[in-house]
Amino acid sequence: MKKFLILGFLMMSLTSFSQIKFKFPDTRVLTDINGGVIDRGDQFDVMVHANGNGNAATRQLLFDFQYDQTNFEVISVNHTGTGGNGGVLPSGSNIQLSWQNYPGYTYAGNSTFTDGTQRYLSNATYTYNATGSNAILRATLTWATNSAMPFNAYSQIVIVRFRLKAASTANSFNPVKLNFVAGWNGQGVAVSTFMDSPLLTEVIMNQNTGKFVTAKVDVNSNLYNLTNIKVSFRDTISNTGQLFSVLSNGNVDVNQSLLSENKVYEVTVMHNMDNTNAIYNGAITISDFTTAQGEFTSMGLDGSNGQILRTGQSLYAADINRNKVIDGGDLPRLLGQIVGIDTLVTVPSGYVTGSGGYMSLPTWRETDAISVAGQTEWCVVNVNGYGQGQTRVYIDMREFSGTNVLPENIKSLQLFDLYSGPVEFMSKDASWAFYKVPSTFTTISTSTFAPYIRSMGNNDYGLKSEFTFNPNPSNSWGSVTTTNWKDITYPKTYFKTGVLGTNEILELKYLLWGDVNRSHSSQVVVINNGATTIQTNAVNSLQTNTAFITTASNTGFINTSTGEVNSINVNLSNITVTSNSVEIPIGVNTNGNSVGALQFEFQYDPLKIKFEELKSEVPNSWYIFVNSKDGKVKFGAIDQNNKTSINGNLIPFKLRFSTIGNGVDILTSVKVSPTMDASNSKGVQLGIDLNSTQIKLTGYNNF
Amino acid sequence: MKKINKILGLGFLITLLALSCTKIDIPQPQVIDLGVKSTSTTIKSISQTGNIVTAEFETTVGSKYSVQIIPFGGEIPSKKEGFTATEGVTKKVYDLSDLSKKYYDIVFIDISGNETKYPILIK
Repeated sequence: MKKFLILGFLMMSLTSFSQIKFKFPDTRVLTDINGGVIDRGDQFDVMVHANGNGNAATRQLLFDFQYDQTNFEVISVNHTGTGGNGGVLPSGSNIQLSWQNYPGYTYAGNSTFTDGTQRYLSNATYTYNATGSNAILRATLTWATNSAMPFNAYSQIVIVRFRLKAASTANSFNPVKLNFVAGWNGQGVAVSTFMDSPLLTEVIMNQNTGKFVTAKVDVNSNLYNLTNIKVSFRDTISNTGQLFSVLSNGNVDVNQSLLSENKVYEVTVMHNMDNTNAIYNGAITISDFTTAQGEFTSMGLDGSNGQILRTGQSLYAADINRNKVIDGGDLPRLLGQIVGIDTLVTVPSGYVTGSGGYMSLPTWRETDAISVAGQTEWCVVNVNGYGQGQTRVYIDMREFSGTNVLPENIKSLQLFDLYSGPVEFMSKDASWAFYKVPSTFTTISTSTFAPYIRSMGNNDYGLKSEFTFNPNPSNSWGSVTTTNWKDITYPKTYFKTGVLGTNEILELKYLLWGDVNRSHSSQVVVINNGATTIQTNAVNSLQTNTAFITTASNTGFINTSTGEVNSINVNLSNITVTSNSVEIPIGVNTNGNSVGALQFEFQYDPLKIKFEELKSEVPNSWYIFVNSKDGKVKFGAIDQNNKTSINGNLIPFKLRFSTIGNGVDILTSVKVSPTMDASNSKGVQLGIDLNSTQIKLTGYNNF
Repeated sequence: MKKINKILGLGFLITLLALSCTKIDIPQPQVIDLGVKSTSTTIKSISQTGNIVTAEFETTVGSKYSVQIIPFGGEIPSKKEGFTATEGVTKKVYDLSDLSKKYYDIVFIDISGNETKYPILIK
């Protein structure tokens, strides 16, 4: 398998000098086919742009889209023709296009390979849910020509026309995604493509609709892949609530008619209770334990913070027994969850499985300063006032009057739909408080708050805005530090509606108990000297996280607490089955790292094979765990004394299965679940680069 | 009571004796011949005319291969064929008219587990 992959990479590299590039032209689709705003019943186009890049080999492309089938229907798929007609294909080409729709399917393959063909060849898998909100649209574009791609710039190649269903009740939708575009030459031999960005585009319905609120959750797609997420708005007086769905991009589909004017709601991010076990099984993995352990062992004798955890959110998540310190009472419970002998969070007694209940998560507002549209220009934005990408924001000092909040206490700011995130207090005078904001405010000219924004020239804008300040770590995510996390009682978020049309921006963050490295929680973004960094110990497990990648690429910085982003290789191979017993070796190349813990989860079809045993070849001092249930086997090992780490090329585990029925006839596969983790001897998470997420078991008689 | 026990015991022994004298066909163990290790498991060319697909595979003489036609989103082949290569290039023609209209992957895999695939649309 490895040789094949190497050969594959060689083939790819041979053709990689001129791959056709693909992307969506924009991250948003704002207009219908007539150029107006998109309303229910309207048709709109989603275009794919391609840059031919002088490519002479490609003659066939396979486009794989994912869209929101609950709200959109496909009307047509068309190519844009040849040069001179608005298209990018060579003049005189004979072009064919076919497409097919797959309702209920969701792409579960690789999204990180930049080569779209590699995404198809190695990893294009799907999940199916007949009542799911997603659908896959596949289109094959084939052309015959003697010419190379004529253009070296982006232009449209394929247009998918959708209709926003007239019967749709949603106000926000899951974005349209371009999962991959794979290519072949005229003989059917695979050729590389290049997946540029953006590869998802959000369809925006008429923004003029009166709204109380536009809500968004900093959703972690690792969690989104495990459960439906909703946001509850509970009326604090009547104690009745409404649940609104969170979409894959974090937007909350709020049915505004279910909210009322001038009411205070408690707002909470919630997950489906039926998925509780899956959520904590996926979110809390071996490096959550090892980082908490590293923090504990490096703490001062006086209980002062250790060396590993650098954010208040990590410390709060690791304090399982809620005694305001990371101690020996927290670690066994974390480990118990990981090895499967205990569950950190359980559903309430009496809950009927499958009844669709939702459980709340600790929820904060993202920022401690919040703005709403007003009548007076209490704020001035001087774009790039502190240098390129570093905007100066002035807030009138009168806005702080009577609040008991000092301007220097503000660490994060939400400014209309223009910016939400960390800021740096710079100075204040009698009139203004000055903040450095790491943004160029590129959407200031297209903001939905345009009536409240006045251009004053010279990159200055006056904003008619009113501010509220709440730098309390129980309410504001942006105010949580490594010291004040102990002051958090229970995170709560309150939201007061104005009149219809106020459209307050509500940005939410959440944290899972025990998710120390935030592999499934919202991210912590901090600012220092105008540069933002994402504070995480889970860079590696977040590399497939769409939201994280988007944020990271926007800021240009990814950070871990230690600055280490190292990975190990895990090599898996397809197997030809020649008897009724199958042994799957898990090959590991530590790439020079000293590995102190490993964890994996494999999924299999229990109707075809049965898990028999885990054979381990880690040192004797390691604690080994294995649990098998319902077609899943979770296993791993941890260096108990932190003294006998492993390194080099080795096979630490072998899984043995027996076949149900005659092994030589079998056709099945074992899939690697995303619930996998590794850490080094210091407890820091290591990335895992898999050569395959699927091990095919092919009985001998199939050859 | 003792007499009954003796009779039952005798009966059991007789039954055991009868069974031991019965001829039982023990299946011969299947001969597993993994063939020659493949040095090439790639698609050389592929073409589709209507629902007839002609594929040329680069193969190693004496190596065993499996071709599987797997429907979109599935795992179980709608069609499959195993063969041992007798030439460096193996040509196969598949009439897929009886398959339902959808996307399929033609998966070409050797006995060492190396594989490649190609998408086809049955209309």
